[in-house]
Amino acid sequence: MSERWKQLEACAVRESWDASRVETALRGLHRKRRRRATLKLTAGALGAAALVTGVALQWNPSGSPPEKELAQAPAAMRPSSPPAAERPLRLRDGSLATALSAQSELIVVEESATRISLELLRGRAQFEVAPVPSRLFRVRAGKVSVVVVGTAFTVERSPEGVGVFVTRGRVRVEGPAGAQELAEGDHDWFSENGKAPVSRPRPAAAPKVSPQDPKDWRPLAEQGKLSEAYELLQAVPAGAAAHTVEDLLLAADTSRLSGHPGEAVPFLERLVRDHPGDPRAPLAAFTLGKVLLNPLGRFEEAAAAFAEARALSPQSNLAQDALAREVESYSRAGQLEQAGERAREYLRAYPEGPRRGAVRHFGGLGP
Amino acid sequence: MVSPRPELRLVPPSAIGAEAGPLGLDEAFRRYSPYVATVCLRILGRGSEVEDLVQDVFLAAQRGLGNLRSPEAVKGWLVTVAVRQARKRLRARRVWALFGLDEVPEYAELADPAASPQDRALLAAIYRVLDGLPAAQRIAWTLRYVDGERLEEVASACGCSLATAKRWISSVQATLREALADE
Repeated sequence: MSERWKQLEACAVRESWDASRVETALRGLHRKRRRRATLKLTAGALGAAALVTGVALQWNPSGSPPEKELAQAPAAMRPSSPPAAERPLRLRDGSLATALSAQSELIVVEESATRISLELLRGRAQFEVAPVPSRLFRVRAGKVSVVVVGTAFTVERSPEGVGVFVTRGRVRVEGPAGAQELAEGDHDWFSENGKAPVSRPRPAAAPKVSPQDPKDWRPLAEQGKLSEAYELLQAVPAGAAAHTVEDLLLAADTSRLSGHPGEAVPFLERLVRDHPGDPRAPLAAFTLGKVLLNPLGRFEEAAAAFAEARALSPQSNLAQDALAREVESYSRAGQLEQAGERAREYLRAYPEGPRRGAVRHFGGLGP
Repeated sequence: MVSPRPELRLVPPSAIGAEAGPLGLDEAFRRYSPYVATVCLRILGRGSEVEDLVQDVFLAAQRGLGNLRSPEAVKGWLVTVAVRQARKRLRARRVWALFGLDEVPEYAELADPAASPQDRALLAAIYRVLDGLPAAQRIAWTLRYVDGERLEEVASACGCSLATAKRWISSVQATLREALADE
């Protein structure tokens, strides 16, 4: 075995991550981060519920009423896993609990087939309760309890009292002053010390957190289900599917990566035209150039798109790559003079550039 | 011939200094992910795993990024985290291989397109041998001879002493010599 392996660095490959690939990977990174955060939140809450339920059962093996179990559970053992604002906690029966502020603190005290009991320690939370007739769903906020079957409501706990606003179904609110039923659209404030409730504006409801609009292609695209997302995207009227830079990029990727590169062109063109000052516009122009070049074979348009990418970000590494591809585009369009000009421009600007071989080839400048 | 180092999305050195704020995750990713991707590819030997590993590297490294300023320090930190993450994957891969569940790819595609057929074949043969070696040794050797890092940098990235890094690299060289005597 010769010592040739010492020269391996010379022939070892490098990953060619261009700007487009970097952005795609970055979006994937953020999706991964969100998934991991949701898993931690759910695992923490379920683990906490299991722990407290186990403790309560030990202390009350004869199965005394849940109120006694709650009263006996020591505060020191009560887990406090404050959910991050606006991240829903999904319970085993399909119900959702969402903290509506960063200060909200909600714990799962009991979770079984017949009873779910949550305690709102502070702040505001939204609840969407799955309709399970045999299961009691209770939210306690100090001395005030909200007992529900199949409904959606908001509870806010503050020093002045506990506010309840019902957005769907009916709830029964129990407190020191007695019990009261609230129907859909009702709201009221309840005091914890038995005095008359304080008059305040109704608790603010959360933005809808229940199952997303089935016609929204974005969640599917973000989950990587591109073919399904593309089908929904196609059903949206032209011009209405995406407006923001984020959505335009996502729509373009959805089309491109699901095997419909031609459908990505209008999104990318609109992004560059409507948002030329956005830092992602050069990347969009570059991606447009790549799509037009391969696989669409629209070479002259590709050259124009690469030129636009350079113009939008002349000092970046992307500009170097874009110029190289401009050479290729002109060459394949049969415009050899322009190809040669651009090739000479590349070699002057980037004499050691990684694409100098391809540029010389497409520019007709020889090896 | 010494091949050019992987290009970073560089900000001119004058823009990095005391005035520059902590490096955010997105900015770090845009600047350094191509570099990290190349390091990961050379360690793992498999392009299909690179993107996933690069994402894991940045997620694991993000807390430390805020304390670093110079590009060299950031790169060093990222390589250290990449080595840690890659080690876990390589160990898991060996377990799968024990059960016959690891699909070995065509390593010849690892070589630069400009490499000669002989170099391609050598690189492929080397990676096949590396697959059978302990992850820590494999990584040290790859960083040294495929990525061209100095011994001190290899030891730092692998979290071991210089003596240990040298020992690992020598052990891998001995194995390769024996396995590839006819190359």
